[in-house]
Amino acid sequence: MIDRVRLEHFAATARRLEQERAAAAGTVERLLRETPRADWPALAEHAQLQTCGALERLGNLFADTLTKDPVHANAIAELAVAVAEGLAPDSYPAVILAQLRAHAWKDLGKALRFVGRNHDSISAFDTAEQKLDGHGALAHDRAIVRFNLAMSLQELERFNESLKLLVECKHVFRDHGDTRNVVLCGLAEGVLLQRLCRFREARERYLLLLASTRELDHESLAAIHHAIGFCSVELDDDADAEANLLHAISLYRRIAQPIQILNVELGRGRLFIRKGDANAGIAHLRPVRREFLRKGMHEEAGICGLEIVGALLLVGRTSAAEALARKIVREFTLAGLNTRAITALGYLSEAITARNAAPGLVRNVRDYILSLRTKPEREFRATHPTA
Amino acid sequence: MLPLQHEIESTASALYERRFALLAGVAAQLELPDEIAETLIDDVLLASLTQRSIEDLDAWLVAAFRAAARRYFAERRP
Repeated sequence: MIDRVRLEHFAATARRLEQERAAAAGTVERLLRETPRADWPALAEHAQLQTCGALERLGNLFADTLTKDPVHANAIAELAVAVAEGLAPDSYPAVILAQLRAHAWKDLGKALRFVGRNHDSISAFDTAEQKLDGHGALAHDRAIVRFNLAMSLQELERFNESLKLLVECKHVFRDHGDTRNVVLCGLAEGVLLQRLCRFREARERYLLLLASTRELDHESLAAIHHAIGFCSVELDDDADAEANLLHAISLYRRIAQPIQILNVELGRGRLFIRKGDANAGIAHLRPVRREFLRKGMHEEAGICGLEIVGALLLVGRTSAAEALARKIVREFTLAGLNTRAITALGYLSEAITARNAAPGLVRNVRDYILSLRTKPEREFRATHPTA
Repeated sequence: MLPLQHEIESTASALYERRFALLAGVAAQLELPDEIAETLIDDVLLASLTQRSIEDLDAWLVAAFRAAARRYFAERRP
């Protein structure tokens, strides 16, 4: 039996949300544009932002920005958390208030993962999940939070926990008819296999995903082709790698994802070098590195630079390799990156100066720097013999 | 009330009535007590107001309601 009071409350809430969405369109962007980022925390007190519509708008802006400018996205997410937490307990129905707070924390968790603060990101996801406690109707929202938690657990190499969560979330998404997130779970499973260096299994998982899912958006398709290309590079399947990486670039271009394009181009540069064309790899990677630097992504620029250093050593251009390695040390130092990474880079520079560095040592340092994202306290050990 | 607001509210009321009936049918299958069913249906319908990218909202509502009912039964289990 329908309770008329509940029906009227629902209709009034629906109307209110539509009004807020209309009011937020343009207003949120204007406030962010007109306020220096350092002053954004004060915006949480702004009445025009203290609505569900404004929070949804912030969420959309966050999603649009995350892969293009993670630091900017992090600032948006921090603002959204401050706004959501500042809403009065009776400002919205409890179930909607829980959603607003949980998604704000979830976005902050994603941003923290993107800037490499994985432990903090897990805390943010835990908080997001707590906001949903006691709301049985929010299983889908809970799965979205837990899917993101699974991604951060992967970054911390907690692979079994991550896989368990992914399987659980995939069921919930499938139950709710959420195809996009079913695909993202499949992708995440593939990435997990890649991290375990099980490239053939990972590639098979991606191919299965392509074959079994009818309607994939451009972003998902691009991510799948990027991943297949990456696995194919590792499996020395050059033709497959090139075709899939090019396809990924074309798709990322259509949806304007410049940082993802740079990441794919980095993969193509590695492909040239692995195929034995180090000079083509160097020529390809230099503009990619410049673009990472231009965007303030010093770690990615350094990783790209190390690929170039390895290629320079392969073609006997030792002085150029040495100069670039030292330049990367300076960039890491200026950017205040992990001092252990700087120490490892310094070791590499000295080895090159002493004409005692093989490309294997460069890969050793590169892998070590990447591992610091998940284990920032790990000590560097040169596991590859010098030349 | 402005005409557009009235339209949104009328549409919302009609949607509530139709979807309440859909979920009440599921509640009957699950043998949920009426009072609990009504509370869970209301929660699920309110939660659906923030779902803007789901293509088949009826399927989403049924899944959300079933999940809420499972949780209700799990919490009552000794």
